[in-house]
Amino acid sequence: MAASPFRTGRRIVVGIVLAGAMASALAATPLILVPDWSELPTDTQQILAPLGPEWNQLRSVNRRKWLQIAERYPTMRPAEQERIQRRMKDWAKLTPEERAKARERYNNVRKASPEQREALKTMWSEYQALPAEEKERLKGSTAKSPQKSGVVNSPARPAAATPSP
Amino acid sequence: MKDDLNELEFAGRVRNVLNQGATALDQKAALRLYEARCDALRHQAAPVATLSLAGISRALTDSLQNHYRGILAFMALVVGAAGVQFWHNLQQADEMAEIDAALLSDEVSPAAYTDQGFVEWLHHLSEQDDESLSE
Repeated sequence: MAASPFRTGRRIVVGIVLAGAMASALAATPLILVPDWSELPTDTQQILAPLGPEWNQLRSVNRRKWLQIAERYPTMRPAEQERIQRRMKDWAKLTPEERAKARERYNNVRKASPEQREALKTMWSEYQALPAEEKERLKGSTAKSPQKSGVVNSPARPAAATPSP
Repeated sequence: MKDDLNELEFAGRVRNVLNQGATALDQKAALRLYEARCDALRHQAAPVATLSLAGISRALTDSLQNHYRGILAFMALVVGAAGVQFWHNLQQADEMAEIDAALLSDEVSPAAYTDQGFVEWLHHLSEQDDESLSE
């Protein structure tokens, strides 16, 4: 007896859904590209030392990312190396959404001119000098604000590239 | 054609004779026949029960043989989709490595991009400057 077009179509859809689910499971399984901490070479362990305690809990995509960063590390200047090691632990603690948002903002700033980036650096220093209550008040007012553009033009200071919300 | 008619006629006569015999059976013979029938049915049930597991295996084998093309297509789909997903993960990791390396080694702290208060402060300053210009 021939199967009806509806049943055939349903089988195909179920097959595709199941195949997708199984494929995701296969792709998410640790592969040779993402070794455990104990399997990393000593020099890579030294570079990624701040991540050591959490390494085996990291997702395979993140492990590969850090391995790529470790490969670039020897080509960086000493000051950059120091910053990256100092910041990697806190960066890894952020949620994937927070990191994605920060990357998006950083990408906006990267497109700005060196002068705008320099102005941003100065403003960050000024912001950090604000009283803690003032900073808390600003964070609290964020929810009420509309979406804003990526560049602040100020006559009092050079136009600063800003991380768009 | 004539032979066929004779055969049908003969079968009809046999049926009539058997029917007459069945109605003429005495009660004792009918009871014995009924018991024999029940006995035969009881013996028939046993082999069916012992063959049930083998039946499942047979049904599975038949099903695999009948649907092997579909199963092969499904497996190809799984392998293909896993490959695409794996490739996507590699691309995503490489892109993140490029941005994260730059972001984490930059002179401006990554906190500047995660601190919502800082973004709000910058726009607050911008609004103040706009107001002073318009005055």
